[in-house]
Amino acid sequence: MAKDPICGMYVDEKSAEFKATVRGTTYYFCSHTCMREFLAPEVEIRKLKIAVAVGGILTILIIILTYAAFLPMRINNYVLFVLDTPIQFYFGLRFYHGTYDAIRNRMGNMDSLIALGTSVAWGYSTVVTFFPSLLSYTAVFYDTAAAIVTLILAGRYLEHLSKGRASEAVRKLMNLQPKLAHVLRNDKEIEIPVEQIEVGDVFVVRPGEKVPVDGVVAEGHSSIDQSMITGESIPVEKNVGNEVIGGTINKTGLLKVKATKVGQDTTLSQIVKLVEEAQIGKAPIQKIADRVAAYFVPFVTIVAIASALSWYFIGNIGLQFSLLVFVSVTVIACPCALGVATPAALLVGTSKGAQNGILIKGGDYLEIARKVTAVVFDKTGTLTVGKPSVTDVVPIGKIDSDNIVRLSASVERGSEHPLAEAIEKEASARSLVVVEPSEFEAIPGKGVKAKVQEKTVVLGNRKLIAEMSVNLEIEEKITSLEEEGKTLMFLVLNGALAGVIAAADTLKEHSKETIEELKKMGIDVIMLTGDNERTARSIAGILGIERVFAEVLPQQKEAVIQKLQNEGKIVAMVGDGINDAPALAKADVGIAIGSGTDVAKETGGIVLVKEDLRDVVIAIKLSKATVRKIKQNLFWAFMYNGALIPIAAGALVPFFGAQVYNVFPFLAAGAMAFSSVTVIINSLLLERFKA
Amino acid sequence: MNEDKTKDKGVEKARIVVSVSDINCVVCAKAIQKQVMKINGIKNVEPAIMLNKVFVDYDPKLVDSSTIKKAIDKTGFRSYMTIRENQQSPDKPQN
Repeated sequence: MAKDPICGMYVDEKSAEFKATVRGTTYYFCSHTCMREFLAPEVEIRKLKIAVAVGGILTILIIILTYAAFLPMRINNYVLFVLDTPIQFYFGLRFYHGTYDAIRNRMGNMDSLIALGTSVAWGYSTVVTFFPSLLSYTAVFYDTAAAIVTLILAGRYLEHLSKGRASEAVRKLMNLQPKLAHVLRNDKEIEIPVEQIEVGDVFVVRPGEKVPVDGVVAEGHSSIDQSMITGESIPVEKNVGNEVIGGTINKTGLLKVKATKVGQDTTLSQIVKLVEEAQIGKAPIQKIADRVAAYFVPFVTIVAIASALSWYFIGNIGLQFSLLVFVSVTVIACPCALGVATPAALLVGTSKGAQNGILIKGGDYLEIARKVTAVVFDKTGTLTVGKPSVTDVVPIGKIDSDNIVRLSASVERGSEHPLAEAIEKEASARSLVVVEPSEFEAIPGKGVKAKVQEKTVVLGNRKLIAEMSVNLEIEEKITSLEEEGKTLMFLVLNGALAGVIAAADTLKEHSKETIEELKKMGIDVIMLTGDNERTARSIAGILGIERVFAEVLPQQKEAVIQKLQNEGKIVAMVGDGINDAPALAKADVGIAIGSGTDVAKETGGIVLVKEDLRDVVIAIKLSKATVRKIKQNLFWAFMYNGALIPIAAGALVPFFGAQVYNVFPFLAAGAMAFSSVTVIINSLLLERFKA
Repeated sequence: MNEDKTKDKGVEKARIVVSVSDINCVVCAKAIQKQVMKINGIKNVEPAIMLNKVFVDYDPKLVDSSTIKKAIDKTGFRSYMTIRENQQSPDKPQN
């Protein structure tokens, strides 16, 4: 079963009457109408191709005949008329269509300028051809009219192709989702289109297959290549209860997965949506360009008429020259390059980000991200893992450290306290056998007590040993561990202190590297945490962070951001999208880290799919690279339009004489035709950005 | 920005994404925007030139997608495919 890409109906491939292959993929349609609609853009490209080819041949013939002029003048003109008229009105028909639409919408567009310029050239030449006695000139400009139409069409053709290339990144993301899924219904495995999976369905993913939609592993274990969604190159282990993302590839084992998100809600759909919607959140830079573009056509028309009239009446250079100036001005100007300058770079930049698990929600965030002067990190869960783990085990007396861990883990058995989990993890890391305690009893405010293998074991905090005598050496050890910001637990065995276990939140793998990199970029790094000053300082010290805001309540985080902003800093806040949401929203750029499959819910202008802090640096770098591209694009666009208009209007006459303008309309058409293409191709260079 | 696409003062808001035959210039995009904005019940119209798509935020109680499509067609562009999202109205996808 395949899905009709237009109406969404399911079509059986075997009996499908309507199908089309576009760039290697075969699509099936329910009806001729759907197929025609789908193929419209393709048909357009083909039409343009034919127009450029045929128009090109005719234009070359026209140019040869114009300059070689081996036929008598009158006859030559008739031949040129016959050759040019189809170009003007058949291949150039689209420009008249466009002009008609422009008039109806009461807005000048590019088509109207081209239609105006070429019509003047063609019309004038036609008058000369058929009524030579009306004018004292004999030269015709069929070559100019023909060359303009053909060059502009060639430009449009290339623009189509390059635009397609630029939006390919988005399409590539969408194509990650497989078309079919194996779903278990009544214990039988059936094959259905991905669109028909419902939340709660259990589907089977074999090694080598793609996961169809987001879900939770219900049975089996495997490793999954998530690089296409998160950018991480190493496959991730998945066991029962772990989340899997649609579009990722199952590498090793068979998995049974329960669908949790389908259709528009899958991570993949959300990512595509974010990249697309980033196109419409307008970057301030683009608003200026758009405003310029809106007044462009009337402005250019006025310039064209004014310069032609001035040259004719004041400059007295003659009708022919004035005409060429008029045509040059109308044809050279093109707001299109201005219009695509920002969206083209933005699209390539945001797609590049998406491929690396960095989702930028709009052009405005991108533009601020590059200016960031301070990055604020939430400590717990962002710079650190967010869960304590055992760092030190101090045995006291004859007992060894393994036994301390084993006894502690046994006492805490079944407890869900984070510290208990840390000890349990340590025990399994040391492959110790944990036993079931008996006579379990809690000592309020102090700890827990139980019998483990006939021994009375008590595990608790400092208060537990308050009245015990501890020798000086041990006391010093305890104090130094506390100063490192660690949480301590004391094991009392048969009434005497037998050992100390220290636990602390550990740093994430790339925390230090990221902070060093940010500092190198000249960005202030600041830590924000609800933890006590001592713990915060100790972590900050390891990471090389000088400025720390400790003991900040969740609702105060926002105020800290405000304070930094008042200092004149442009602040990026990095945190998890749920607890730090207000602070993320307050910051100039909120960067939500480790969203996993919840990309849509996250607050913040930038969402990092994986929990890798280095992505913060990459996001800032990508934003710099993208904005640099936008600026280059705008420079080119303004060059094409701003600088070339005076030249087209006759500014070169004092330097090179009026003769230059015999060929200038060709150059003008060329410049216009390729202006947007230049800008789009320049944007495509962003694909080489290295994460 | 497109953040508040849910509810604003109890007024329902839906978004429709219309694919449009090649929008090749900003001025044309503006024409589409102008034409669609004229319809009662339209909140926001954002053309995306690079994607050849137009994002329209509207109140489903006042306008339906076919009116929007018609308005776009009127500007001389062919809107050839619609993708629905965030719809609060219960109408079925077209076949």
